[in-house]
Parts: sequence; structure tokens; C-alpha cells
Amino acid sequence: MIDLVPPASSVATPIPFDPFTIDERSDAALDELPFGVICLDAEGTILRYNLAEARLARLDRNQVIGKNFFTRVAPCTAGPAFEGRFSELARSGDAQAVLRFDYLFDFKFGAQEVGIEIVRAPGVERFYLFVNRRKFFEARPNLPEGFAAPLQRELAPNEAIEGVRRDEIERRVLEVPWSFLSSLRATCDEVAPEGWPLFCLAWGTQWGRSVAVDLETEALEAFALSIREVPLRTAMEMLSRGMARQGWGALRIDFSYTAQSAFVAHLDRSAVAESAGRSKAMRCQLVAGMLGAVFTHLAARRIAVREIGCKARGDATCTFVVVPDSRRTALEHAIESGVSEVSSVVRSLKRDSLRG
Amino acid sequence: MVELRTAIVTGLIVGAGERSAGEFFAAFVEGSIDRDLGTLPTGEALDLLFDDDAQE
Repeated sequence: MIDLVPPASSVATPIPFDPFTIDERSDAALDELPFGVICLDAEGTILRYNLAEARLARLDRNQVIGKNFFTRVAPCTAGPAFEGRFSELARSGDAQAVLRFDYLFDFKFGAQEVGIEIVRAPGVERFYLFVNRRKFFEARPNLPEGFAAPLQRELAPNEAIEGVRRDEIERRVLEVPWSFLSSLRATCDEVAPEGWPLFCLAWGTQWGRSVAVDLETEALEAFALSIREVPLRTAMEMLSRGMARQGWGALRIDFSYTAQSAFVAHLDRSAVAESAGRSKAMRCQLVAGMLGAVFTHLAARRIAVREIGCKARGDATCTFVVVPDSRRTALEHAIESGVSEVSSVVRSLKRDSLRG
Repeated sequence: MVELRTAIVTGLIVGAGERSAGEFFAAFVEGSIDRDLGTLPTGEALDLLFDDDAQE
């Protein structure tokens, strides 16, 4: 007997979401979701695997796509309670069915209590698994050999000699000197000198969406909470420590101006600014875009971040003003008018809103 | 764990750091955090409104 239940308007996440439209979404869109998404064919071969699932399962999707989910990637699911239900759904041909059940995923680094929801993509033999993590536990002892999911290094044992580096949670990482950023900026100055701010703001926004997923997964693992449910101070410390760990600089957040619907972020020793050399213009649009995407995720509404002081320009630190998107235009006007001191920018925003 | 030398978060009113990030940002977007202009001392409120105009 399987739990075929009527279709839901959303999966069990805080994000309004129609599971039957998932197949229309790009891989990049799947990577913005803070819960696991796995696409299988009717035999269980993995066709798509999003960033949150890769992060929480500590597997590289390049190694799991094309492999059988039940036998190679998650052998703890190879039984009637999971694979059996999936196969029955696949055979049923019911286009509107939604299969929901709870399960315990066993990994060698720990166990995860999850809520599973499975739907069939309309008109095709593709099935989407939505995986909502609920609780994290130590690895269960005395499991049968081959029951827990393999580690990344077991799926791809020769990576060290293949020039692949991974961090402590098995994400592939690059370690490059700052000249990598210098050369990128110099290239942009050569081929599209006016394009740097726009390109970097958009690039930073894309990057920030994956940083938000990282924060979500970190909050889930550490507190079994969404990052939006974590105390503000803790969330900001997680963001700052993550940036420092990767070498971007030291991020400080100043909430002194929240009564004026603004707050300020400072990035000391910005890697982007220091790699840019001396410049007349501000250079940390990449960081502004990233912070904007992270704060937008936290607010669940659009937030704008703009740099008003930059070390590349000779300022002591890189300073960013954060405002609701409704005040973005006023912020940009203030910056264009040459105001660069934080309290002056914030004061001009306040006057603008009072007059508006 | 990366230890940073300076305070990461400053300027929060007492207890605000313990609010959830989601609650804080929702209030931030709505503009309902802390005080409004009417709660400021009159001089400070008027300065906030008119000080740049006075210099023009």
C-alpha cells in the first residue's frame, strides 16, 4: 500500500511552489531552492540533482548524475519503503499523484530525518523527489555493509591525483591567488570598461543566491532551522564567518540606522578592492550583489545594496548601504549626487521618504 | 572556525539580535523597526528633516 495523496499546491517548504512546474525550471533555478531536488527516470537513474541536495548529501552532482539513485547513491532507499513506493508510482501512470512519506537517510557522516514528496513531471517519464531535511543525527552504528550512502571520495576515489580539491563538506573548491581577480578586472577594463559595475552586480547576485542556499543548509545542520528562523545576530555571524573563511575580508554589520530603514555593511580588507589597485571608481559591486541576494533571501522581499565607499578609491574600508528596494532609486540618487558619508546618505534617504 | 578581531554586529537595540533574521528583515522592509520621527526629540527630528536645506 502506498500513500498516493491528492496533489498539493506546494511542497512542505516556506516557499510558494508548484511541484508540477518543476520540470520547466532551469538547473540554475533548481539551485536557488533551499531544499533537495532530485530528478529520476522510471528506473531510478539520476537526471538532475540540485545544489542544496548536493550540499546536504555531501556529494558532487557531477559524480551522481547518470548513476542509479537506489543502488549507487542512496542504497538505504533500496527497499519497499522507498524504492517500492517510487516504482509503484512510476507504474501507476497517474499524472496527478503525489507520493509523500517520511524517511531516514543514512550517510556515513550522519543520519538525516527527511520528508519526501515525489511527483511525475507532466507528459514525460521523469520523476521529481523533493527532500525536506527535518533533523540531523550522528551516524547510526552497526549498519549493514553498503547500506549507508557512499562518501564522495568513494564515488570518485582518484580525485586528488586528478587535480580536484574539496573542502570539509566535499564541495569542489579552487584556491587561486588574488591575481586571478586582478586579471579579471584588467580584462574587463580592456574589453568592456563600462561593463564592470553591471556585470559584477549581476554576477554577485547570482553568487549570493548560492550563498543563501549555503546559509540555509548550514542553519539546517546546526540548528534544524531555516536561516530566516535563526536569531539575526547569529545569521549575520554565519554570513561574516563564511566570507572570512573564503578570504573575501571581514564583514561587519552596523544596524544603527534601522530607524531610518537602512543599515550598513562594512567589508574590511576586501579582496576585490585590494585586487583592483587604485581606482577612481568603486570596485566591490560583486560583493554588493552578493549581499543584496542574501538579504533578499532573508527578507523574502527585494533588498538593494550599494557601495558608497571603497578601499580601491582610497577609503578606509568598503562600505555598503542596505535599503528596501522601494528606496533603491533614492539611494542611487544620493550616491550619484556625491554623498558618500554614511550618516549623510541615510539622512538624505529619510528626507526623500518623508517628502515622497 | 574563523575568529574575527572586531565585533561583527553593532548598533542593534537591546534584544534585537535575538529576533529571528526573518522577523527582523520583514520589519525592516515594512519600515516598522524602532522609532519613527515623532518619537525623536523635536530638535533632532527637525535637524533630520531640514539641516541640509538650511545649508543651501
